[in-house]
Amino acid sequence: MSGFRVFAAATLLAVATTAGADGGAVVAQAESDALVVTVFVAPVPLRAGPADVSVLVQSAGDGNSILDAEVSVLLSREGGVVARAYADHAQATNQLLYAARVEVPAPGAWRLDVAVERGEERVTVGAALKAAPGLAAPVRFWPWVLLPIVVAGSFLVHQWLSDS
Amino acid sequence: MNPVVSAALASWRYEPWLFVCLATTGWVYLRGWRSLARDLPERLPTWRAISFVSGLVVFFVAVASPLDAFAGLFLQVHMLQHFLLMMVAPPLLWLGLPELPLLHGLPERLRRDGLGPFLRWPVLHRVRAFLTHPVVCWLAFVVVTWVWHVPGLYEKALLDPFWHEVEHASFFFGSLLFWFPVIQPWPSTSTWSRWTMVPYLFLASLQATAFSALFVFSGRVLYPAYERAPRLGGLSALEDQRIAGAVMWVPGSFVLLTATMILVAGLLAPRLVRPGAPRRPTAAPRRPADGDILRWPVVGAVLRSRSGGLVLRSALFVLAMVVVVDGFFGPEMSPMNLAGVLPWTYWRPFVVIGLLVAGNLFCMACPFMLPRSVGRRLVAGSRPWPSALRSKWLAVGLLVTYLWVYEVFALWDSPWWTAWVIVGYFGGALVVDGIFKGASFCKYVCPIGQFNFVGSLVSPLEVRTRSLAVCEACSTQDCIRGRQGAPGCDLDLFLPAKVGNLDCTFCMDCVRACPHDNVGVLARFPASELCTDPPRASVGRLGGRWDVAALALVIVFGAFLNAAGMVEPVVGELQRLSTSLGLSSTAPVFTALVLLALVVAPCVFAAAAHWWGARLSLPQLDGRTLACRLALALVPLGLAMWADHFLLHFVNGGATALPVGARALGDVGLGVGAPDWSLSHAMGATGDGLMSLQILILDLGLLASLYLGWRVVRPSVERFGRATGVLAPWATFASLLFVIGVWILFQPMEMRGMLMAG
Repeated sequence: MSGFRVFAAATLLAVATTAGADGGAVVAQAESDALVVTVFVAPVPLRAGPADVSVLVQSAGDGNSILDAEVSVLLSREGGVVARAYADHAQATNQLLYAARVEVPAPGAWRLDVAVERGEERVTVGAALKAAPGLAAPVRFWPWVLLPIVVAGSFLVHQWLSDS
Repeated sequence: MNPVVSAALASWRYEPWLFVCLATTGWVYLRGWRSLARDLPERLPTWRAISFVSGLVVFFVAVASPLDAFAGLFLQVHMLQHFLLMMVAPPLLWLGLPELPLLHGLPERLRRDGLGPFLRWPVLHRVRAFLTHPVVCWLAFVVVTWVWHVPGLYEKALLDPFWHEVEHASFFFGSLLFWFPVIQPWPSTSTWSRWTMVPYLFLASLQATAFSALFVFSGRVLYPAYERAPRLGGLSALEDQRIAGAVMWVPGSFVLLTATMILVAGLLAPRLVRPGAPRRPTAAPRRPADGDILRWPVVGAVLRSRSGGLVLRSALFVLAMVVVVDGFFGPEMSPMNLAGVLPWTYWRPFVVIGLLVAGNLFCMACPFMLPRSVGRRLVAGSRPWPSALRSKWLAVGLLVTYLWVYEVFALWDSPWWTAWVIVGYFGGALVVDGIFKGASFCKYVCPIGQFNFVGSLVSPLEVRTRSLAVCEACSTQDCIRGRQGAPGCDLDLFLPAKVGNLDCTFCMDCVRACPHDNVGVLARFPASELCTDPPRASVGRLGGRWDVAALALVIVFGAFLNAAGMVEPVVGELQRLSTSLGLSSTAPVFTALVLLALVVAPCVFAAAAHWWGARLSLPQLDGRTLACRLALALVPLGLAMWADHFLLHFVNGGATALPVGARALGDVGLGVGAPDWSLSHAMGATGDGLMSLQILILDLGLLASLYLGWRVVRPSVERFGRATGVLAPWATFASLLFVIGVWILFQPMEMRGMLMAG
């Protein structure tokens, strides 16, 4: 019983937490005298809804990752800025990346601007993004919605086998 | 260490799901291995357990370590990840001979009754025989290897986490199949000669060599994603690809060659297995775990002592008084007032969580008991509760009224009205228990108590006797009469005949009154009391209680109504309807909705279930019994909906008490600094994690309800097919409620009790 409860609690905890995400497709790259900046966006293809923006900052000289830059992300469209976020390592799984989560409010054309500052050095890189319509909630959460069918179906098979 | 290397090594994926699954698998295996290794030490030596656990660790490293984080930047890292998933983890797992330890590690009942029918199922045996056929195993391995490395599919998996998981799963399971006939883990046997595994491995090695050579000798980058990726460490994409080929070629060939050598060596020098190895004496069976909370240190002592209960009740009483004072004299804006925040954002989720993880904790610490005790001392009520009202009908009416008032008068948005409700509650308890004897207010009047009684039907704890034999030898009946100043049960629950939690306030009076220390707070399987319908002390059989069924239905339908009342499409539709009817307020339409959901729908449900039961003429399950018990079987689903609803409020407004508390303290001259009202803003926490958790809670509620429904019907129906037919209409209805619940969760909700940002 206690083992079951520990398992149940751990399961609920596991479901309740979300992992940091990063990666995705490269959407822009820029280089200054000192820095090389690469911007990734996930999901691929981009959809309306939550999106992960990850940024890799490298030294232009030796290609080494730079971990102490300040990175900000700006999502905008013709009407103005809709989301602004600071990207950092805490939100990234790959600790060489700076990551931020932004909400893409609607499908259509968007502009993403990433500003990287390190000391006197500042690099800005922009990308035009096209977001597809967001996935409907039942599609996003289909495994959870269909779970009872699987369990109840297995239970019925079990009962049928027990009977026969 | 170089900070870049250090950061790279810290790039682990935070995957609690994965960790829980692997840890549970390891725990079950070790539990079974320990029990089997006692009797079969030669079959299951320690190295087998080490091998299995190592396999799990390698799997975890492959999918959660920095290897995964860098797989999108370096092909060589990705190939190393695949190598671990295909060539290291599977053989280690099979070498642990996991089949019997995993089965024996499960609780006996789950193994015997749960898995037993599946394990004996001929269809499953045929599927297993097909899947473990060496030709199928070899082809599975080769096909997944080649198919997933086709550039289009590989890039799809690289950019989409879902397909990446699918890719890894197919590599892992394909490789498990591949290694199965090679290791042939006991107790499985093969009709094929073991020598056939030599060409099996040789052919696998050949195709792996061809595959690796493609990477090493190709003059172009096979996967454009790596060409677009930033280059770290000065390696070009083509150089990276060549190293990736070498990673697959050299260690892969080494593993396959080693396996071949071990296999051949074993065939040339076979060892005799001694099945008749002497048995070690088995350990004495363990005593069942003591699930009695009253025997726990500290917690048990607090619950047993009279002062413990008094302290809990006094603390909640003081809190209730503070809420009342702030409700009357504090700010009118609900999110800035303790009466607008504490009862609605905090108290409600805590009550439901308490019911789901323990039992009726709120009634145990109920603040309304204090004035009731005062009333008794002052007036010493001695009249019996009117016999016409000895049912739950009054409470059902009050509960419907409360839910109607809550919606129509927006109680959550009025600290002043909230304070009046609390005062009314105190007054009601004082008057009822001042006039009538026993705990009449709790048993027949209090809507909160009725909610808790019904909710606690699915709780994992129950107040009951430890040993019925002790009760049979006891003639004092102190548990109900009281003893030496310790009152007995005011709700007339005679402990030897008490079944379940209905009407039990967890007050512990019976615990203190029992002269034999024979009452405990014992663990049980949640909702198990609804599987059967024995006569219950002071309650009777639930199958004969329309009032209890009505109470359950109001609570179940109330959960969906209450949640639907705050989602935009429903609110908008009701407003549109009011406008089209020329009404100046939505109150009449809301009232109609409440009547429809809490009066008409339960009546229709009960009538339909009664008609269905009467038509079926099942033994021991007449129309009324079927209707009442199926109504109660819906309780887990209803409670899940309440839990989801309150969870959303709590997650969004969990920090609201801080600025409101600071404001209230400042008002009485105990300033702790200016309130930070930004904490009171709706956080709009609608992330995937929260939504997943909410749907999972609803899943569990539905499954528990369906299971209870099955347990209600099955004993009265002989054949499986007929039982499903009998239950089908009710199961369809429960599933429909589930779909409505999921739909509500997907809608944008009003963030009540919070200041809106912006």
